[in-house]
Amino acid sequence: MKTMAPPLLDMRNVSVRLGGNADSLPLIENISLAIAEGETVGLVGESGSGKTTLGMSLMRLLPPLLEKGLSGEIIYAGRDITALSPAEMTAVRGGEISMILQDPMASLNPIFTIGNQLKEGLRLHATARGTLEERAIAALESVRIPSPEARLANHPHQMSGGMRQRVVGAISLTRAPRLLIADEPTTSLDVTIQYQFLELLKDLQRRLGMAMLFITHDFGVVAKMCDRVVVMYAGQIVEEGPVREIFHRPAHWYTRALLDSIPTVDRTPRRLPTIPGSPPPVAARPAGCRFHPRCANAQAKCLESPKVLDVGAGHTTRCWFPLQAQRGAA
Amino acid sequence: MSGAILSARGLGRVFKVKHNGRQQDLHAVTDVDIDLLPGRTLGIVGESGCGKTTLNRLLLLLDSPTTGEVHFEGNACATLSPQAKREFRRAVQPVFQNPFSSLDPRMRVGAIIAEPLSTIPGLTRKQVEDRVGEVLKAVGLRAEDAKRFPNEFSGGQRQRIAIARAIASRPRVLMLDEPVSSQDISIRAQILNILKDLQDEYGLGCVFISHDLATVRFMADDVIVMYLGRVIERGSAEAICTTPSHPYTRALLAAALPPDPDAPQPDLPPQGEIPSPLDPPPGCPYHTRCPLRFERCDTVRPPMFHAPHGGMAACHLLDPDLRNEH
Repeated sequence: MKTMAPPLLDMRNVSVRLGGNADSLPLIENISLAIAEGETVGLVGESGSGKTTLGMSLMRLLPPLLEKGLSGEIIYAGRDITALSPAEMTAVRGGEISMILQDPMASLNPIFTIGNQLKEGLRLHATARGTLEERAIAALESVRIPSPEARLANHPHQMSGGMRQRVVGAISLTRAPRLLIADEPTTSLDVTIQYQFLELLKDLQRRLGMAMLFITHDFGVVAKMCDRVVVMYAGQIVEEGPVREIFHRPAHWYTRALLDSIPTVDRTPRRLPTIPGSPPPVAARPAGCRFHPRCANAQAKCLESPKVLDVGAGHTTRCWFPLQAQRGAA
Repeated sequence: MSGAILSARGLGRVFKVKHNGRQQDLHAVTDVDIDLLPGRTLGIVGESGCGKTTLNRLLLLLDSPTTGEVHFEGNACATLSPQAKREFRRAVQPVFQNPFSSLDPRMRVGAIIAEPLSTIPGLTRKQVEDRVGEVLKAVGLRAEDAKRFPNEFSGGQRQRIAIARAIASRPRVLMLDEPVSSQDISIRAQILNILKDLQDEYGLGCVFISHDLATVRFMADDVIVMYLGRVIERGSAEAICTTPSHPYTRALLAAALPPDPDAPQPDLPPQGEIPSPLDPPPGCPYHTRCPLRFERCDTVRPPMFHAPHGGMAACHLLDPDLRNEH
């Protein structure tokens, strides 16, 4: 077993604010999150929780106003990438750290062929063997696109959504990244196509040994894909732990309530348990525990900001009164 | 058809489209039979290109079928008198997927909700106002919200407004096209519960269109599964969502990922691409993706056979004569 190898990625107290002032509105606050080599971490949250902002901060692709408001350290393979020059960051981006976004049509350029867009990335990868053409075909084969030779001449609109997302996958993996950030990569796909894309990602990850940060709102996808889960609510991490802990022994009331509210094929309750209200917009986040206005167990103490508590092996929660069910058995 | 409020027989819709420079027929919906009983929910399950949205439009009389008929309370809809059609518009109300595009941003919520009430002759202004307040409360909003504009509400609240509009005219049928797909998870359960409560209270018949078997299990009594415009399986919600017979429905079930990291591996995981409805495969429409296909599937389109779960499925493997042949 590995003993305390430094993580591949280590975010320490990362905040992103709207602009450079320390008192301006934070989108994400004091995020500390580590990803080990080869590990898949699921980042779950509802809209407005800050999960996409977190992903973009890792790529240093925040819009200028937010980039100015980025604070904290993001240590990737021993280097703080918040201190890198734009040129150094360009080398990391797409090479060491790569990204797949939700909408493949927004990632692909509609006026160039698939082959053209694949080769653009391949050209930067000088060490590989074979002609560009051969390597582009191999890249399409690796994401299981049938008759890849013919597909090189296609434009994005000539392919189905699932096929396009696999092309995006092929492009983002051409330089064998060590960390892949996948931001809702299957949300725009049909369910049977989503399933196949997830299987493909898992398989590629095993072969390339890369780590993955999987951003999603879908707990079913998390259960299938992830080793560890981070739950975000209103800009903060509210719970973090191994996937089985989170699903079987959630400690935060928000996580528990969310899991309870999901319908499944084998249960037919008369009504679903619900969480009242809706996730707060950034400008209206409550003081104290961010979840307390919607929490079934809110108490006077919850008006103060809760500290992060250890509740099991690698399992933490930001709650004054974590759920106690069967803790310690794991 | 006994007692059905809304039914369809042999419903089909062919669009003339131009594809690669030549005129082609797109069979969006082919030979669909449906019976919706009062107080029941019919789930329609399928992925993109399966024809569920076209079917929804046909059942709402927003489009005319190429073949077959829609019946409302036993009467053919194609020949409804203007008064009967007006009554249909009152009695059958839609709720769409995206409440950001289905609510007019320039109208106040009260006016939006009051719009379907214009199909009812002789209502006074006071009656309209009272009804608007009543339905706003029924979906968990306040009567005062009638004065506000849609942009003042969150996505979940907007979908509540869309539901309030749908029930304002005391309809008998709600047509729900993916009503929670664009909502946050904590909001989905709220909306689904409201729909169930309203159904109980008003005895509504509902058509619930979705790609998600888990949501369909919660909402529906009966389910049809569509693939490339055809119904390929039908049965009770329990049968379709737990022990489906058709390999496609089994793939859908495998793809409905449960929130459980220890869930068993599915026996028939989905494979292959959804074919273009412009160029559907011969024989069984699913044979290009089916792990269980055999010779007959390539050339002969299977009719509906009785399935072990008590419903029907269009799969040659259910043919009782299959064993005699081999």
